[in-house]
Amino acid sequence: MSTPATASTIKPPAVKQPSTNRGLREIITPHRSYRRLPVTSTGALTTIPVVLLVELAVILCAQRALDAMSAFASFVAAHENIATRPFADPFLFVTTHPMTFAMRHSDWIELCTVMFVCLVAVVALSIWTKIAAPIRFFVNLNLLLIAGAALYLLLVGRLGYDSAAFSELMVRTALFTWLIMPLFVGLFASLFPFTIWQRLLFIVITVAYDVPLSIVRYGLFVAILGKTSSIAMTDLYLVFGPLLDAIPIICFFSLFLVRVARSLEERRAVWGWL
Amino acid sequence: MVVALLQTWTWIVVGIMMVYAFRHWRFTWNRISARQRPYYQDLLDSELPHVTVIVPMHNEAQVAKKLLEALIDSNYPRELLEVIPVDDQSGDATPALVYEYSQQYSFIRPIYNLQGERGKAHALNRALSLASNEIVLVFDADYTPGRDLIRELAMAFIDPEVGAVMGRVVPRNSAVNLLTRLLSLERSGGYQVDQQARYNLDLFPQYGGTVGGFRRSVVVEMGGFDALTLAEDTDLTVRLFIDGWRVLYANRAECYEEVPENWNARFTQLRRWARGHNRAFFAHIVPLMRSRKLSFVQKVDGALLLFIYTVPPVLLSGIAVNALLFYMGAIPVVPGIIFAFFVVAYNAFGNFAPVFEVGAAELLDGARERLLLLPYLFYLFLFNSWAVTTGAIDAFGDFVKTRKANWDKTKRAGAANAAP
Repeated sequence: MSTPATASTIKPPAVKQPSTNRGLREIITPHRSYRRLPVTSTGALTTIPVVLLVELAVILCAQRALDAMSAFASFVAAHENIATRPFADPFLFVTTHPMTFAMRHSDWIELCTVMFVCLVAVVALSIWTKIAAPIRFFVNLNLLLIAGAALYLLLVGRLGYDSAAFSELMVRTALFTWLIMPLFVGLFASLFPFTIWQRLLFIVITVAYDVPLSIVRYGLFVAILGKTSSIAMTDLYLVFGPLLDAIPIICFFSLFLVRVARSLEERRAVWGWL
Repeated sequence: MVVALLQTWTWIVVGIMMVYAFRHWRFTWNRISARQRPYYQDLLDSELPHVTVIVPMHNEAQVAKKLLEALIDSNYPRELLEVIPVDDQSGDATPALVYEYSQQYSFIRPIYNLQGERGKAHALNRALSLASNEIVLVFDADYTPGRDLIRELAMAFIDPEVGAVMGRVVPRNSAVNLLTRLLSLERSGGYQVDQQARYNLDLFPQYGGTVGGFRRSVVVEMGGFDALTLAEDTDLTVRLFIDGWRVLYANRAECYEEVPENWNARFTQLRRWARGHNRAFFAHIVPLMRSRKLSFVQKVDGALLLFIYTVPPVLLSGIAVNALLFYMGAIPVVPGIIFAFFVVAYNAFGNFAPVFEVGAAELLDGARERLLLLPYLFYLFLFNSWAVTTGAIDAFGDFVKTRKANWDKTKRAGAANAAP
């Protein structure tokens, strides 16, 4: 049962207090066409010591990583019963251990068959439009590289790279990639409002990810080439070589940008006007 | 000798990719951190100019209604506005639709091109000959201008030095599928960062042929639009700059468009753009470099803009040369790696708007989870490169044989009539 209202129980209506400096206290987020990000030259310049630090770490750890690369490839080759013979190759500030490994020889019948199959597949994929165009184009690029290698082998007799030269190329490519990657990632990082720790983490994580990627890939390439022949060598190197190293950079980049976007959303005051 | 030549070509391609990557790095840095150059839309001027809006249409019945309704709904004074829809030999209900609107609204004055030459340049030339006003705005039929857009674009012409102005294009159907989402990312990078930075830096903002406008007298004096070209927008931009006019970019003047929803439509569109743009490159590169009204930096940026649709064929040639060098056992390791990295930096993740530019644009647009789509831009890499290469080959053929190109219209999905 409700209590009847008396003069003492009735609350006076709330009086709206006039706000002081209301306009100044409100954060007016600018329209997207007028926004700027909270980036300064000083912040961007902090990328330089970070890159140098990671470069130093790469130089210090390169020998171990390259040894691990050779060891893993030897392990995979042994597992696949592929005969290998490592050799020392002093290069820049490290001694790499590329290897000679057994590769099957392709006769002209096999080469012609590969070429024919690849070209038929290219034509079929060009006509058959049920598969999304980008996938068809990507498959076609791989097929054309393989068909080109088969044609070259048919005409010249051998590719420019034997197993030792290819192994050396792979190892040197890995080293150069690790050296170039921090500079490259630093260029990306310098543009955005990352904290110095985010910059460091972004650069370290991309290089750290690339080391096991290079090790595993090298082992796989040795296994694939040891089981097949040099026909696939060009495709492996050009499509799944340095180009593949660059792709994870963009994946990490997008993850870090999402983090920045969240932080900007939480701190709306950081948006700059014109 | 052959190996040396091929290796030199690899270095040249690497150099080109580096130049473009650093150019866009500079644009991105400018857009996100530097003071932005204001546009004119904040001018409170009581004397608005008389404006003619031209809408070239060819089989646009699916989308034209939305555009005409948006123009009718515009807050620009009716007495200052004239709308000329040009029906360019449509085989669908476009002429009937346009006629119906013209009966209801006296400021809609359609033109019907029933026979003879067709194409956007022809349609524009015909409309220009009948337009009553000096300031002309152009919209494609699948665009939906906001209520303020005509005013925002027209205000720029109060400045007597302004020859053309361009607004920002925002996809309306970006949520339809992966392709439209990725195209939305590309558009965002291209306008929010690229065009705005070029405007900030007083370089070469481009009039894009739609969501923009120009002075009628200037274009008529130049002989109208070149009927041989498929990129009348690039053509006009370069001709204006060569003659000393200013071209502005209005980032706030946003207009919604329908991007292609399937791969065939996108391929056709890109191929047409590449064909027209490369044609403009062949026609204007020498006059551009010899122009006395442009600064050295503007000439360089103009040349890079004109060359942009030649980069993908050059890039594909770089891949082919690298393959050949590999077969020969002579692939250079360092340029090979730099090539791979700068392909990634400039072209592999984004068509002419590199991935960092797209990322910056999306941040400025307030996107969050959409940023996770950035790696998917790689999906478009070979597709874009091949589409542009075929267009460049077409353009070369056109140039050598001085033949006229056919206008392959982008097929509409009709999303314009759906709710925005």
